[in-house]
Amino acid sequence: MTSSLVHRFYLDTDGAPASLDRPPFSSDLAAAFDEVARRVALAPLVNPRAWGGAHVEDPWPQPLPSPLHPAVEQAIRRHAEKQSPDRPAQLTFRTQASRSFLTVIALESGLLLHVRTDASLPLPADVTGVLAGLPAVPETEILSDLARIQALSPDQLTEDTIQLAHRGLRGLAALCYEDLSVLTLLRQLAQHPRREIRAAVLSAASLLGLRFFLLELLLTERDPALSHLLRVATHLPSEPGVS
Amino acid sequence: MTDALAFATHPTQQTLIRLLSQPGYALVSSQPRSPHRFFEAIFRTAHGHEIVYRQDHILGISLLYTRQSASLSSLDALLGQGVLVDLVTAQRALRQALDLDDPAAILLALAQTCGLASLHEDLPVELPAMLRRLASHAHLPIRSATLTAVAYLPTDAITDLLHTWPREPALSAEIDRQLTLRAAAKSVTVEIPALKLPLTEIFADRPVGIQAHTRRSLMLQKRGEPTRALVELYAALALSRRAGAPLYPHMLRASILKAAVETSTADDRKHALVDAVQILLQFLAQGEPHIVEEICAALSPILVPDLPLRLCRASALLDRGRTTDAAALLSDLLPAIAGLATPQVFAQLAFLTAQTLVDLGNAPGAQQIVAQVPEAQAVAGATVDEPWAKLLALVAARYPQPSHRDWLFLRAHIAAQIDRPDRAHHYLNQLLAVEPTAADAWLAQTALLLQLRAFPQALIACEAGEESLLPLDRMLEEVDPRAILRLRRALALCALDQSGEAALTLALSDDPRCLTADGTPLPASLAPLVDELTSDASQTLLTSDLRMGLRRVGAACIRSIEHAPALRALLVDFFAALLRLSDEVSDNSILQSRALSLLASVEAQLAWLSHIDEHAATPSLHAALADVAELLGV
Repeated sequence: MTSSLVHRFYLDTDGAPASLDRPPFSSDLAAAFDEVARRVALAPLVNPRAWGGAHVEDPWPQPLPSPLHPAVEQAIRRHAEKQSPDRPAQLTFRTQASRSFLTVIALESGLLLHVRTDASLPLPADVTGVLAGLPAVPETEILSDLARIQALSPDQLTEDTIQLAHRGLRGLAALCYEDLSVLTLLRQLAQHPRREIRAAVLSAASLLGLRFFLLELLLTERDPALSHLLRVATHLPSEPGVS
Repeated sequence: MTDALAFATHPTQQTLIRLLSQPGYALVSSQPRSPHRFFEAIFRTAHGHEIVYRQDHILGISLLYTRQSASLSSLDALLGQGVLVDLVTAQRALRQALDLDDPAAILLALAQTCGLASLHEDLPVELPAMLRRLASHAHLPIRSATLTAVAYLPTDAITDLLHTWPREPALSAEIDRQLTLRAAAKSVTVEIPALKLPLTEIFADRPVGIQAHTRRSLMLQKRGEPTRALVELYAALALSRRAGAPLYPHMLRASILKAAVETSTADDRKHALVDAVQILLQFLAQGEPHIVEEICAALSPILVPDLPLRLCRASALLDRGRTTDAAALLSDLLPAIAGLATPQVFAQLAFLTAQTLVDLGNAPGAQQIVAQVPEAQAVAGATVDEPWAKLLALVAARYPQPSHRDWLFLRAHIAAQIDRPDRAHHYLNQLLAVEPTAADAWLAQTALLLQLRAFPQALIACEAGEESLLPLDRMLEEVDPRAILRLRRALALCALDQSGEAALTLALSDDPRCLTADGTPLPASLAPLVDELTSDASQTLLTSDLRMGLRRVGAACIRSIEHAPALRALLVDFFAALLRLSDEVSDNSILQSRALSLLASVEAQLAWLSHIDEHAATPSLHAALADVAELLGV
């Protein structure tokens, strides 16, 4: 791959529709991460042998000895899937046709999928095949949704746009896990007259661990329910009579 | 960081990254945010100075700092615009916000001030007073934020502030947590010239040498803990003796310390015993039982009562193979252990003692020990939370906790040795009732049944035993257990007047060593077959010699890799497959080629495993495979 490009996707496991053959994702992030990794590994045209954050390069033997004893394969897999204590948990897969890299990343604030492909080409078919089986929302879509919602006046907000705002802010919490510039947008949206939007801001700030910002919101929030949630998020006792 | 320039910024990561990506700044490394770390990037200026950029999500600020004050001069413009602030500005802003009582401004200035102050060694003089005002602020979020912010400042002034912090239910737990952490940090940190490490880090470097023990001994002596100092000194002395290093300085200090020990505090002596046990266990883990014996001998008269030390000594004796002395010492210690250890630890040590006595052929002694332990294992679940019990448990942890099965087997073994085969049979029946495929129990049962002249039952037991045998069982025993079971079956058949079938059974036994291993006298009707068995008349390539050779090499190889599960599984299956192959009746060349392809496959897998598991690269393993190749005639 001469020159590569990283496409970032938020994995909206909370909002993913379930079906008979696709059970809903667990609300537990680690379990959801495992399920996403399983789906990627089982996708057609994806090499199921992944590697973890402890490795920069693919550590799997090339070519693999054949036959391979199950215990040896298990040992190589354990080694390959090792994580680094200095990085978020992640698993990287390679597609078989375009040799693109698919990295599933588990952050405290959500799951991300990084797709590294050849910069000169559109997303290859083996990658789009994987994306079709996942609740992957492109970063560009999240940002444009949020920009659109910011442009709407409070009475123009419908149930759908509020849902989009929630998804967008959840996605932003994952995409901006290590980028504090997200605070600027969160501060703007925290002034929104609609409590649903402010609730989404609270949720995103809580996912990102922005303690001082949450305390700042608690100073100004007048809605009793949101105020209660803010106290829960900042480990402060609730005011009597509010639950 | 006294020369540091530090800045807190409003969150403008993109601006800064862009700025620092310009010519003159090079990104050296970046550390992604993880649950335990903030995002951090290190840049280098054209002058070789390093600038660190960090994002603190808790405070909601970014920090930019360097040790070289000139390095940030190019950022003066941003400083002037207020995008960046330094500690003086941040502190001024905090004072103004406090005076105006503007909560939002207070939060931002508080985050910036404490974030920046954490990068300096000395706390700004005015800051504690401002924090004291904030601790009593009217708004709970401000008080809570202040408590969060002071966690960044590990100074005595802040500890004092925490002690006088106005107590309220919402914050009490956090105040106590911070005070506990500060107290713990203070108690484990010791001053060592040119080093400032917590004790835990010093000990993380074990195995430690003479110098480390000496240095620690000096440090403890300086802290007024002579007994602990003496423990370390004796460790240094024992190591010096083995290294041929000078002993005189240690001995001189030891005589001084011994005098001081008499007036030492109870706490010092208590901690010294814990230190001593930990040091002795380290030496045992390093395979240095001689050193343990020497230190125990020196410390036992000083650290009274010395039960844990004597237990360590017994352990060292066992490691040295002095089992008679170890058994005697353990037997002496058990009554005292019974009163101090948890029931589990007592049972663990009683089992060890009894097992050692059985190995020495002292079954009556072992029986006395076993009689002290409740048969029903009623001890499980009971705990004694005493320092003594913990120390004894620490030593006992060197040995596996015996299971119900282990006890039954030991009791059966003892009963068999004291000529009570009926009792032994009873214990083995209990074991087989819960574990019907225990090949070792079936093997022992067959011997007992022959002894009890219960021949029909012996036949059934031989059959069950052979069915329960795994390839690994056959490989790891000195004599093939299958051959022993077949021999015993032949003996039982003879006793039942079925000599023809007995002869056939014995003919199928392919390890002639079973004849001597079992020690049972053979009936005259089987004598001709014995000659045939030992002469090994097989004409095939894969003869019983090969089978024995494979078992010998395989057993040694598998024993050597007990702690490498993947490797062990691979080699167990490999040798088992070779043994199965050796049982097959087929053309030699076909068998040889199949065996060789198995060998080639295992060698290829070992080559890959050696990248991730050092056990796979050990020369003895490759020598074993070379032996296999030789056995196969390559």
